[in-house]
Amino acid sequence: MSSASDFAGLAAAEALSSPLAMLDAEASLVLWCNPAFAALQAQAKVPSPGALVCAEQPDRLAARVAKRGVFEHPAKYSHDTGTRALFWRARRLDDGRILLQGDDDSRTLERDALIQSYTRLVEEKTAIAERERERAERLLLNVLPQRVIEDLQSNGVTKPELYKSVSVLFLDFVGFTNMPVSRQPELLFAELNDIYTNFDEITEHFGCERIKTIGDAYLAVAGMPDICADHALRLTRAARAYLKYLIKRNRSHPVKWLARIGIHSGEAIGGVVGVRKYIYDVFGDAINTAARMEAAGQPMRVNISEATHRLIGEHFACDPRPLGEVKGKGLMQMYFVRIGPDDGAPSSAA
Amino acid sequence: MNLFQRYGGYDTFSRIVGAFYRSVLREPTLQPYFEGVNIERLMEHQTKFLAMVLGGPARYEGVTLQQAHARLKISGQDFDLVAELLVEALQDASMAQEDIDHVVGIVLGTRSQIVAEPA
Repeated sequence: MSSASDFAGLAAAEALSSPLAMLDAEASLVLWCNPAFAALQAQAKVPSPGALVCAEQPDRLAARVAKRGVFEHPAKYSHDTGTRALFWRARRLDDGRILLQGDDDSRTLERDALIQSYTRLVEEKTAIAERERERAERLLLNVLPQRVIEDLQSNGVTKPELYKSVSVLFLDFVGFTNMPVSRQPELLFAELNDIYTNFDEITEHFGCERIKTIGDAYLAVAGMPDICADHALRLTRAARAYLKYLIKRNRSHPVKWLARIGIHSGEAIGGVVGVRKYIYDVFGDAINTAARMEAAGQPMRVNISEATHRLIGEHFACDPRPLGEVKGKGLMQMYFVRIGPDDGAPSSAA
Repeated sequence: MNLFQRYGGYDTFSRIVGAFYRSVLREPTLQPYFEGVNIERLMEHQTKFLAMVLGGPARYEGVTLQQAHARLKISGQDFDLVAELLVEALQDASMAQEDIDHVVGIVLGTRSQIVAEPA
């Protein structure tokens, strides 16, 4: 520090409110510092300049300067009157010593606060949007099968498909129109809503698909739109579960519901119809035949066609019925599935 | 909570990415790659990339890494230096070593798409 200009520079540094220090090459000794640096160091009560700059990793300053010539690090200091943010820059000089300077960085504090509040806002909005999306998806799932929704979402369209082997189930409540409850709209809806909700859970549980309800009729399928080999088994298990649920429910509810169920297996077409009101619907002879099976059945029994029997006969005990005339079909062999606690297990008769 | 959130979300990572690019631009061998490049957009990409890697909300939606880097003819040595600087930026932000390893594993996995010559 010999010339006049050096002295002037030193005086300016002394007066600077930003901390400024000269460190040795190892960043362990403070060779010189201005009052602002000394004050900060005294207040922070840290053992080394490295710890002052980077409290979490005190060695980083020396290591990084040795390797890259430069080290930058933001730091915050809390004191009585608030928080002070400094942005530290350490630079290796030609003679190996390290010049360390901390710039007041109130803008960083402002920026942090701003980003934090903005991020919170965005996160809240994202969470709301996410909830809305889930709600819409759940609603959609009530109307369309999962696979069809995925098709619509990724391709924008879903095309009708022919399924070679599926099972179709019709369930209808016996004597519905004569039941007193059918003249009490609110009670009727509460009852059907409760029953169908439980049916839907059973349907889903057995990997089947509820297609629609038409008044007091419930239409479910298996093997479409998700193809599976054991569609007849799944649907028969669901049928048994519907009846068991009704039996249990009837014990404790004033309104007693008796259902007939018919199942048939064959080919059917599935696809989305409608422009404004989408519905995934199924078509084909198998649907009609399943409806006939239901009509030809008896209360609280599952009536299945020969085609379905061939698929489940090994797994369910079934009782063959006398050949019966089926509307539009002629004579057909039909079976009642036994709804005992023992069936569902492989039958020894098979 | 994913890693991205745990380390403080965009707030933290935009700062890490800022420090990372400052250190990249200080390296004489790397400077030529960035001439005439919109650094702010690059930083945005990088932040999204990190967010994606750490399970955050963003998705990287730029052109493929290969397309983005092909004309630069990046050497293996320079790629490694950039990767090293990224590690340092993550270390400076006090990220746990195992999380840094995770990020670096993914970054190194992109090497063949970015480097123009055999290393």
